[in-house]
Amino acid sequence: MKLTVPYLGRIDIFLNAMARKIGPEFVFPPRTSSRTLLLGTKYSPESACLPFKFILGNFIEALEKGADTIAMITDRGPCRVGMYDVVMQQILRDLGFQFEWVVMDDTRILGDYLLRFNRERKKRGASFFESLQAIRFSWKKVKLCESIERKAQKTRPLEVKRGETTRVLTDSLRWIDEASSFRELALVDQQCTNEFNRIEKDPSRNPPKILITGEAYMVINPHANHDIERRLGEMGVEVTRTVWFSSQITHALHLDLFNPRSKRKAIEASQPYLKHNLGGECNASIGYPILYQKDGYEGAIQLLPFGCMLEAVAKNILVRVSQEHDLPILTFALSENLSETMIDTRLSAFVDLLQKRREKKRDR
Amino acid sequence: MIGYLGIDVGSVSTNLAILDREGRVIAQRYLLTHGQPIQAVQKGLKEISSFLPKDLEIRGVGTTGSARQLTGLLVGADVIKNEITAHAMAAIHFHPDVRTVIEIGGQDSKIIIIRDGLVIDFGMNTVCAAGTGSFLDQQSLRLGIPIETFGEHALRSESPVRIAGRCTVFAESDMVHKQQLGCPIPDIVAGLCEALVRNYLNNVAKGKNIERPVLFQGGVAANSGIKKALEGELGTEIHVPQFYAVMGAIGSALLAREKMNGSERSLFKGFGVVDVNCKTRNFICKDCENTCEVIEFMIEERPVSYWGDRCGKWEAQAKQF
Repeated sequence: MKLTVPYLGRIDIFLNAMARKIGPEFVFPPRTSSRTLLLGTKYSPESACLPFKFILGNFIEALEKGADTIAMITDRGPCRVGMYDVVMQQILRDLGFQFEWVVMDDTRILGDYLLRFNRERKKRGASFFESLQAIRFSWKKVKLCESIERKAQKTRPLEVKRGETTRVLTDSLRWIDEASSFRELALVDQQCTNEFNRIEKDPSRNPPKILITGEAYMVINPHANHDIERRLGEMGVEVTRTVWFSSQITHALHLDLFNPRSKRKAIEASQPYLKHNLGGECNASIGYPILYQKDGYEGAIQLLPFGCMLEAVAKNILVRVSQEHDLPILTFALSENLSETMIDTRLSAFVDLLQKRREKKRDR
Repeated sequence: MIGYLGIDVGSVSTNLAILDREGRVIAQRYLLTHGQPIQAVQKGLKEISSFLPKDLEIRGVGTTGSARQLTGLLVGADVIKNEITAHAMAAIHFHPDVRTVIEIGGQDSKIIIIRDGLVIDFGMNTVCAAGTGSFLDQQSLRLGIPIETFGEHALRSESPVRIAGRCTVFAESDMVHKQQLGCPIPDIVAGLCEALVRNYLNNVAKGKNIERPVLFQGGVAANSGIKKALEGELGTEIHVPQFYAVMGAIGSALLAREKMNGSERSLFKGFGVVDVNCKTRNFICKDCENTCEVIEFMIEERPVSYWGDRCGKWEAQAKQF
């Protein structure tokens, strides 16, 4: 079996690590590019949202590369993503591809997964203990990736040479992916720390902090959000985002009870504005800016795919949140038709707005 | 005499303004970009320099507009800022108590919400032409009415017709239909103005807290029909500032003045830049999977800047020259 899945943050590093220890073999498509979007848009219904188009493009490229099994999520919630797997399957078969389709939904998460997982590990002759170790190893890799990404978010606004942080980040992620044992991983951890320390920084800068929130796919994937974290970082802004691979997993498994900035807490914070949990990131997008304002975040950017119903609801409610909490919020509804200049213009206007606010507060 | 130069290079028009130390407008120029920003800037500079006192020394230059980076490199700008900041700066300069700025340009439209001299919110529309000047240009061409008299025609109407405002294609369709029914031109033109305003208020301005005083600027502010339609929809008086067409340039000049109040030397290359040979070329960089489209800007055959590279290596190369 040659399995492919949709990209969600550094899922590729997680799965590659698993694959090396106990399999199965994962086939990841080439890095998402303009060709991916072209393919995806060509074969998708025009009204499908941007993540659909990217994922379809990724699947086509993975199939071209030899994948024979596709695992795709589905959801019983109000969002269209519940229909994705059915529609995508049909499109891919109509295009003449042969493959097996595995649907991942939360009703089958324990039963079907564990059985399948057990089957695969037996095929590779891995013991139960080895399998647990493999999961531990992969998880550790993901957590390290995420801590490096957070470091980059803090370092980039301070860097003296444009692009240095991004270069170190890219190298670090590659080293993490290549590490094949716990010991090697510990060495890589140290190496990354050293490289980050070596980046020339200007400590006198006091970067404003902006939160990036919104729909999961758009927030976590730089290819979907026009690399917004890098852009803001290079404009001298410290950012953080609300969606991470590990946080999505822990939330799905109900293991995020104690994290004060978890999705669970964000949904709670949205209650005064939206009593029902609508699903997706809707409530979280409303609650996160309220939570992070307490941590000194001066503004928030909401990212959504054009046409996303859940985030459109959040967007309108955020207008009130912004007024009542005196927190500037900028919304981007992204589709495959958006020019680079417009992203830059709006971002720089927003950053100017925040800087002037700071100056005014200081003068008082 | 000390002056500050501001240049706003947009997709439809290029504006220039020169301010004195006190922020008074000494000279201004509005011309059409015609798809060639470099030539437009060079022409604008040549024209504006003929109006200036001989002893004028430019101590700071600011650029804005969608071609702000290119223009900044060409003329040597001290400040390069986005249009929202520039327009807001100019509006506040002339009307410190302004609370809303409505700007409808050739290809985009903006709304800026200001409280106590500070921008607190803004909106931009760039995806759709329905709420912009290009739409009016198109229709004036079709009706054979010069755009300068468009407003007057609208004001003559006593009963504007209802025209679809969502999309220029549907609006035109509607207009043709009303025309073919014999509706008088003033009523159609007034209906068109109302449609554009409805579109503007439903898209760019949706959810924004519009409070008076309201300033209306940008090229379309010349259109009295639009002004009337805005006043009708908002239920309040709208002010069109004296320099409504060049507010972006004025704002950039003000930003330059704010930055260069010390003794730093301006990066301005002088008005002689009008005669310099510039070229732009684009190519796909194949050095990694990103396959960025890179734009190369050359002055006198030497690469001066690169845009579009995610990793910054092309930009770094330019600095070597």
